[in-house]
Amino acid sequence: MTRPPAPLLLLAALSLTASCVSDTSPDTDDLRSVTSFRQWHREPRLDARITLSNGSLHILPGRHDELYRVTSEYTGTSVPVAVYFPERGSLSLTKREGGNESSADTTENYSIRFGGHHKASPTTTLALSPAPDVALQLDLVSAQTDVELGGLRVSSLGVNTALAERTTINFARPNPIACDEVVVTSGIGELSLQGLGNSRCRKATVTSVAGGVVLDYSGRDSSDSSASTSLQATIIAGTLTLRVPRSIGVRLTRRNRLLAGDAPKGLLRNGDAFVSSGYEHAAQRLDADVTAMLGSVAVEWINE
Amino acid sequence: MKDRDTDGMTDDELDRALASLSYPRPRADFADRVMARVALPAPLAVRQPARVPVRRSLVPAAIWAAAVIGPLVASVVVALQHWTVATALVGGLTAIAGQWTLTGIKTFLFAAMLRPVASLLHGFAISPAALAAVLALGSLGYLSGLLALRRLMTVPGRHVMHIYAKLGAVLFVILAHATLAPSPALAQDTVDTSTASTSTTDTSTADESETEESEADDTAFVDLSNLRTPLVFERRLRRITQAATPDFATAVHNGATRLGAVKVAPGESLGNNLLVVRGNVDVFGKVAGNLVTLDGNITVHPGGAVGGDIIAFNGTVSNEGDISGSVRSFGPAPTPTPAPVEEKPSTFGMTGQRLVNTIGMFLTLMALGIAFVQLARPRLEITADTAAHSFVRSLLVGGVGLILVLPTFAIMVVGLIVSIVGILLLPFAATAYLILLGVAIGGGLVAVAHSLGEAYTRRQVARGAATSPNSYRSIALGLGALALPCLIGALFAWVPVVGPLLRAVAFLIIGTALTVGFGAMLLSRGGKSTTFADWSAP
Repeated sequence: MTRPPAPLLLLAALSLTASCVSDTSPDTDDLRSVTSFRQWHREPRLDARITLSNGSLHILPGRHDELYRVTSEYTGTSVPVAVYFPERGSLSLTKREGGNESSADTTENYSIRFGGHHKASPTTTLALSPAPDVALQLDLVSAQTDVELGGLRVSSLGVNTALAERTTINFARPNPIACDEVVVTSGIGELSLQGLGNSRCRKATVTSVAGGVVLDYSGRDSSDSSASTSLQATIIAGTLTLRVPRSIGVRLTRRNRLLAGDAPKGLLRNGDAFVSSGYEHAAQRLDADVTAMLGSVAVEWINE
Repeated sequence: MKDRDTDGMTDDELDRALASLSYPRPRADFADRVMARVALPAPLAVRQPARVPVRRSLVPAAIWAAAVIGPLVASVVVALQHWTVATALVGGLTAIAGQWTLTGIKTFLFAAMLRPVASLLHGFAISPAALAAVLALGSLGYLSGLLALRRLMTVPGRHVMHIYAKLGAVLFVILAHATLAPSPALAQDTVDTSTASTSTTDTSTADESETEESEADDTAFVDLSNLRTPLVFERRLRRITQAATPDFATAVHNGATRLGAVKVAPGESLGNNLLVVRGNVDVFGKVAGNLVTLDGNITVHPGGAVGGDIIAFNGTVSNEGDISGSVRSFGPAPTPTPAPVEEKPSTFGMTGQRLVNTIGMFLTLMALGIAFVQLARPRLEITADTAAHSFVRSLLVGGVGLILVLPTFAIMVVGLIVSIVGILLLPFAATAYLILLGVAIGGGLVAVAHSLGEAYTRRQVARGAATSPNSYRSIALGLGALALPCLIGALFAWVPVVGPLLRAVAFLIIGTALTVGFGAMLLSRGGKSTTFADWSAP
């Protein structure tokens, strides 16, 4: 057997040392379960701001009589931060946690904040009551997130993902109330919003840096059959995919700054815009205004 | 027999001929004029400043090239012969580098997004005016730094000295004011106390913050009206209950304590907070305050009510009644696994390790110095002279320069990203920047060592010692001088008080040398300009 030469042995030793140094794999033995909930006392609305650095996060509709229920696992020495402001928050906690100080002082504000940074990869589940109006803000660094908002009364939705590899948000059932706006900022991961037709959000603002964003407009807004939805998107170096039911008329205005893809499939050029056939007579419309730097925009048609 | 020279003159004849010559009578300023045209080397000088780069022969260059290229070629040949192993190693190292890069980015983003800075950023995001103000202030600070650096890197005139004097006076006044003025920390303490007293009354606030760990944990009591920091609460409570005869009357404030299972019967009403240790609680009636259990479950039955918060440590909570406050339940605490007993290295071993580390570091610097002498000796000497003759200026320039290093890097990165096309150049530009920075700092440190060693050699020459002055010797001597405090610090690091003190002194010396070297590098424009090297014009 040939003995490896000295330089290679040295390289092997260096790589082994480096891999040992960089090994920060979590030890799941020291995780501790923590459950936190609050009974619903007919609070009219809930302002939920979720900030998570890693691990996996699941958000789903919960019990009607519980405003929220957070179930998580954290290390015994690391402490989750979950602060609830029933009427007005503690000023010091609000400052420390970066909450909205002005709104926290108002008696009508209700909010949940929790987050943390841990070596271990905890699993966190947040169940929200379908009773109050929910304003949901997700700030995710690298957490893997699955959100099911079907049946919740979502008044607004904000999503920021930095390095999160995969984020999925779904409206499986129609939103009982009208949603003001969906604001999405995607970093380098994959972000998918499904069932936006059920969300009843009239406006969506999307910024994608280098990841892929999928906006699925399936679902029905039964409250207004002639609803029109607008989309404002800025794609720097990623991809934007619009999955649209054929019953929806699409008008796409695309501004190409540098290198961008070809004309979206199924759309015809009409002046400065691309328009789907039958746009003028469609009961529901999607008006998309997309600015693409190096990114591309694609349209996929789905049958419902 | 008389000696005759080749012209046939005897010695006597020669003497007479010489005596007949007229005696030279130089003018009075003859000596001055002669001496004015004579250049005597300075008695302490050991080298002439190399104003013109010395033309080196090809032999050392060839040796150096062979020393560099030879191993590279050999490495390539060996790698080709063991291609599988080499590719696996390169792949592994690349993956590790990528992992570290990703970790760095994540850490940066986490620090920037999720820490208290997040509230600041959020405030900026919703307030363009604040963002503009901060950007303007930041730009102003950066430009001020650049202007200060530019001013420091030019030859000072008399008016500049006046500015320095004024600046010194202003600084003195500010320092005097800061020293004499009442400490703002005292005022802050007052505010914090009032805030704390206010928030203590707010029992609806749930959970805890990460600063909980910093709270005093050795208190011998728990307060049932304050559940803001549950883990601290639990630690204190377990410490109290572990006593042979727990004295709950004095250890538990603002509430009652029960040992074992508790049932609050229908119609029964407890007006205070309640702590239950090692037992379940069934609430059919009413508990007006907070309810806490240690190693027990809580059940609020239909018709039951709890007016405050609920916490179950190592227990569960189920609710079919009415709970006004927040509910938290903590599962069993993780069993502390005994940490593997690591054999603590002996004092001797640790000292040896520190010494080896220090020696290794300075040997590396010596190798760097040899490379500088071989490749850029004139520049090294100019930098060394700049550090020696403009020490304070080099220190100031180095300090300001080190402060501006990071903002400059950030501006470069942001500029390249904003330009979109520049994104492609980002890895190369960042790498080049870091390499240049490393060369400037490392080269500056070597230049300072060169300067130190040369100064010592000059003194030796002045005392008549026979030495062979050269750059290698100077660098070795200088690095030895710099290494000495580090070695002493490493040697006595195990001594309480004195050890850390010695290491702090060594750190200060190395830090100063590094700053001066970096400043000298900047002042001499990488060893090209002799403006601050005090080289007199020919």
